[in-house]
Amino acid sequence: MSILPFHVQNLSLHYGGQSAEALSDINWSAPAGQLSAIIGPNGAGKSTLFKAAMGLLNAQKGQVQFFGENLDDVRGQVSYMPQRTAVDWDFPVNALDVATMGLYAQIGWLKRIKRTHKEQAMAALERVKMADHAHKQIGALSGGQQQRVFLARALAQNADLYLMDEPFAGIDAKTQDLIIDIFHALKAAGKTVIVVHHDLHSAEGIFDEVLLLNKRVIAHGAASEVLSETHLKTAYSAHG
Amino acid sequence: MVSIGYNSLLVLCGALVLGALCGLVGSFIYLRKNTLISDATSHATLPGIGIGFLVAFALGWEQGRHLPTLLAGAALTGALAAFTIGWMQRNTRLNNDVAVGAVLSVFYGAGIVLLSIIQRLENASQAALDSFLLGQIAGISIGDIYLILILCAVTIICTLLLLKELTLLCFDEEFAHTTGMSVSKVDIALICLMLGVVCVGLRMVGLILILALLIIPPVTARLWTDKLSNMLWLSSAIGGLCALTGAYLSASIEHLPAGAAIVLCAAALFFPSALFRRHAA
Repeated sequence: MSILPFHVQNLSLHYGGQSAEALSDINWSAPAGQLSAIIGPNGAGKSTLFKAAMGLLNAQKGQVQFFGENLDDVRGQVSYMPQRTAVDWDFPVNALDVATMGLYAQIGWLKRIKRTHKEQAMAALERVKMADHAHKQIGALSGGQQQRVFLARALAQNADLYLMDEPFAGIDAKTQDLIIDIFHALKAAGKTVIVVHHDLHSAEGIFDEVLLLNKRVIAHGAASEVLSETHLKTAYSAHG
Repeated sequence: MVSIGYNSLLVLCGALVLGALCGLVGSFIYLRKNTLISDATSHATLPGIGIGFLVAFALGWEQGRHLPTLLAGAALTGALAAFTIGWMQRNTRLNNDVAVGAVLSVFYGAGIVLLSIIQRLENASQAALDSFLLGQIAGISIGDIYLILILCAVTIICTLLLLKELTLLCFDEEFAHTTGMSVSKVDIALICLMLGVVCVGLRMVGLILILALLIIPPVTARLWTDKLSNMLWLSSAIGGLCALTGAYLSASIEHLPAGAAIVLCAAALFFPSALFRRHAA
């Protein structure tokens, strides 16, 4: 696909009541069909960038285009996975129910869930090796298992672009390997994956492209180049 | 065995359906963590009841006791209160509980003032308005029961149609938004369903205690199950059972307000559940 799947232009955002910008004039495009990571210190605006892109926060300036279009025109092609801590895991649903939520838009609003949808959701759970836990209440799952259920919900959406916020946070080694395998499978299928990532050391081995962010773009490009010492110093020094 | 006439049977049937509806809609209010706004909304129906009464009285309908007009008034000020709270949350820096507290007390106060004005009207059967505070089974007409049953049916159908959307709204609002679901519309729909339940329940349960019937059955049900579909069934069953029992007690014992009897029935199920199922929920 030659059209840019994720194209950020002059994006600036500050939260209400605060004068300092959370994001300042961001320009970046994720390469199509590649694995990209957004890396930066806490409070660098990594999640904010995703939320602004997905319309969960209003940017004061600039825009984000998906496959050359506005998000509303290509929603079915874009999947967003929030941080695991964003939801209440005591909620009375099981893993299969959560995976099925990835299909809701496809099922259509006000329409009922059919057996085929449950089968599709089950297939997504199988991909993340969670089929055995399909009928467990989500609160009874470990952190890694919960993350895999979230991933299954995203996979069920069958999108072309995946935005994932901290998929590697607080998970076990087995889940980490599984998620990396899924990333490679998505890449092999021509999908684009962009991940907010916190671990500098593992980034180079997993991702093709890196955006180094600290409220503004510090550097972007091939992972090995961007993760150079000078760039990291700039990103992780007091005010970038 | 005491024989029950057709009319009494219909009243009990109305209570059963109303209780089940409260259990169903209340489940989503509970999961949305939206109980405070429900409390404010139910109290805010009081001025609407007063306005409805004055309108019906001026038009000479049943000396002001015309239930459809009273409920329309209740829905109007209840909706106004919910809207005001939403507006305050978005446009002021007040905390949620402050906004809710302010709106609840102002609307309820206005309602009490209106009722005291109504009490001075000649030929007005204002005594009947007291039943909207704590609910009353005695003196409920068959026409009223039909109205309550029809409104219940409409609200239940709307809730069942929105099952999938309400679940997603309550579980993961941000994800819902990114899939293209209109979160604000579904949120408003839930407020409307809650408002519908409150209005339908005014006559039997009363505006002060309707919140308990919206909250206690789902909380009790949640203690016994981890599955949403089971929780909805169980909550509806508990709500229906409590309303039925409470209504029967209120009809049998003179001067016992139905709302109070219903809430005590619900509490009788809740406390043992909470004790025996401490590890759950």
